[in-house]
Amino acid sequence: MQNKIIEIKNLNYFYPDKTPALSNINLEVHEGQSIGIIGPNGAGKTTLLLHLNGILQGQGSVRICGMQINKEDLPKIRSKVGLVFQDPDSQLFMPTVFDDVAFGPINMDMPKEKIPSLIEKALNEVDMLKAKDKLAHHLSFGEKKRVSIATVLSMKPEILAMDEPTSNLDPKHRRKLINFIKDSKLTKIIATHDLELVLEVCQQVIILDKGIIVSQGNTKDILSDKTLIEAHDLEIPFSLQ
Amino acid sequence: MQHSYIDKYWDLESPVHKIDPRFKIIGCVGFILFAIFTAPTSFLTFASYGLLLAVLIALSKVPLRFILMRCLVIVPFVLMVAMFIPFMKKGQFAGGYSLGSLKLTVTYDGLFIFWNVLIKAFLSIMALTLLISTTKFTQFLKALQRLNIPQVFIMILSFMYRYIFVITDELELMLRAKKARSIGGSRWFHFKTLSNMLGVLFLKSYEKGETVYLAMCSRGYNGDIKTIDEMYIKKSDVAFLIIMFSTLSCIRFFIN
Repeated sequence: MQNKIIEIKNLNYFYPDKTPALSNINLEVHEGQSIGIIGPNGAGKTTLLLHLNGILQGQGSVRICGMQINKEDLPKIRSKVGLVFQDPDSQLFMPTVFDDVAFGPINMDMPKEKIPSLIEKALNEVDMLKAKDKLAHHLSFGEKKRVSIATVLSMKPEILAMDEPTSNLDPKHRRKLINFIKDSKLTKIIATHDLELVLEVCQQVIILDKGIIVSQGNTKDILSDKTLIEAHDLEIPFSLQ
Repeated sequence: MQHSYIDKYWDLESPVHKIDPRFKIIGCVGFILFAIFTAPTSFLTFASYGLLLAVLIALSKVPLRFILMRCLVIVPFVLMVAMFIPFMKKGQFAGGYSLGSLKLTVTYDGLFIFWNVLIKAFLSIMALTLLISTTKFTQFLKALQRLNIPQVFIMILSFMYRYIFVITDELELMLRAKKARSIGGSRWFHFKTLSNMLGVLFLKSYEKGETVYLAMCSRGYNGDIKTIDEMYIKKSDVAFLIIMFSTLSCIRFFIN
């Protein structure tokens, strides 16, 4: 068995108004695995992702690559977990694509002479090298999504945590993105409503509803369980019907 | 959606575009200082400064119309401030209005200061417009950073440049959605809707700010922004500054 790269034990998180957002979450992810997190709107998927690099810190234990999330290890953990937000306009905050992809590596104090080649490599991986000097606002939505991924790839993460990676993408760019995810050797956590995507790229899937993990297991088994799927406002993917 | 970008002509090929942004900023600030410290009576000096700008604009290949239109956007603000000067200054009586018991008098001294403010503001605005329209905005920000302008100002400008278009898009979409559902209704009702929309826009941008901050934190942001420098001083940059300041000094001391 490969190393445990993510280990979450008894994680509870409450919103500032005391509404429980996550309750008693237990999760283990091994190196190289792809895990899909599915569930209805407001189930806590994004909240769970935000716990992976210490943006939110609830009660309980979250260990990433063997490190407990705490103040000293936070910079290290953030460089291990590449978090891609749903809205690329939040992810891309610097004026040019180059500056945006450089933001992570510079903050990690990587040697300056190495950074340009890292940026080129990251942009190349998502096929966006040609946009290097463009302004983020001049890109199409699909391009912004891909650059968003490059902004975390340049940090050389071990875990890629993505929030709705395929939302609002046209079929061609969705396909390109799925192929990219499939080819990537990193550990992946994908929170999404796109069940076909989950079926294609994730070996394991978690159903999250009202902040509770209601089911966890092999993707195909879970996605073809009609009663379970429909009880949580989901639908069996077309290719399994 | 279409936007009018402040640095629309940054990618033209011209000697002015090629100058290092830092040197352009210094040259521009120098020009403004020279213009400000000119006596109001030196009409010829003002004309020469104008000529110098005209030469630079011609060299830059930026359409004169574009620069003048940009200046016109700012001039009304100057006018608004300067409008009262002719009435406030005491001196030789030039004319007056009588509005019932209220008597307004205009003096020659006042008019003189008014002209002085206008011409200096116009020259400065023109120089700044030329600077901004021949420099890529991102390069302009980097230059400011290298000139030791406080980081927080640069961040504010940088975020503004990045998100102003996102927010105007958002507003445009909301206006479109409103239009699609606007059938009749009183003018007051539409006015009230507009204020609600502004509220929503404010909330949206506030929330966007929060997520952007989270996105920054998750990529290791810890309070200071670091960027990579890619600016190298060329001989031509130094030459530009020398020519600029010697021309300005010549105008100042010989034409009077």
